[in-house]
Amino acid sequence: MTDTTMTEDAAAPADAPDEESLIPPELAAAVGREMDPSRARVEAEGVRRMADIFDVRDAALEAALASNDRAYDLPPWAIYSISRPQRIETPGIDPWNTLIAAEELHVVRPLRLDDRVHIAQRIAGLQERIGGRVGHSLFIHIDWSYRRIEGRPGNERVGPEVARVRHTMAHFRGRHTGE
Amino acid sequence: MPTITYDAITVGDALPPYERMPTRLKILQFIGAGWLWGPQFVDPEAAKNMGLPAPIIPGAVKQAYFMQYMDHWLGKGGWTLRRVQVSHRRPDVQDVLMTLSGAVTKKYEQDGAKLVDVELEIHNPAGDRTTRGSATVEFD
Repeated sequence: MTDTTMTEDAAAPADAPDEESLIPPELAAAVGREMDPSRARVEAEGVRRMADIFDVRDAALEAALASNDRAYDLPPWAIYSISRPQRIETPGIDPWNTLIAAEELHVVRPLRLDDRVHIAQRIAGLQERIGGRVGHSLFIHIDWSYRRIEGRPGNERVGPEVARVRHTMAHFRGRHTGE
Repeated sequence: MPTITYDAITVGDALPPYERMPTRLKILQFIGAGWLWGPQFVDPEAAKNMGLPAPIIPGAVKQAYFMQYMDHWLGKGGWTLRRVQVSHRRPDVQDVLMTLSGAVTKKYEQDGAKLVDVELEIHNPAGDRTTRGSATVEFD
């Protein structure tokens, strides 16, 4: 199996594989670059929808949503209620032609209702593999940072981080093996 | 108060199994809410063209199930989930039961925080381990 890695510190693979690389130049150029950020607001209805989808039955949560209790620490899955404004950007590769291979969420401070959140993404690195369990594949590591927006409109600033996420997306030369 | 306290936890403790049924309706609701209309989640033909057996479960849903699993294990209050990691090993498809399991791997104090690490898994009805993961919980 050949395994080449491209990170912000190593801009090009040390040993180019014989087979044509899956890394398009525009994707390689995007490594380390922060994409245009987006922003979102944590709203009761969005959290309520996620609770319904995940079959959550939690009287305290329902009461907090009903009263728009801005001091209530929301469950960590509330982060999915604000994922919509931010699209995954993988220049040169259709993100819908990838599969999520892994993801890791770190919670610094639980989200609360009416939190305004600044969401930034950055391609942290690329890893290309030839051979192995799934054949010729490209793994794209994407870091997301969720920061609370502080201050009033017109005098806002991006405040402390409330969560960070690393997505590892897999893109295959052929089809996924189903395994 | 949590059902299980930090003091009552021992490395090696097994978490009680927890079942989730990701129906096609729930998955479509999730996709609609997040505008994640990937063909691998909705279109059987497109999924097969990608080498998948059928439309699959978005990874975020399985991560959310791991989060819920901590609630199921620990009960309400007295702790905060600090980290959850998921590795998708095999595709999980819609309308198929998932069984979550886990075990305590580490119990420690760091910078004054009482922390517990657990390893997590999802198995399908055939007994295949489809998903591996881990989580860190901080107790008050």
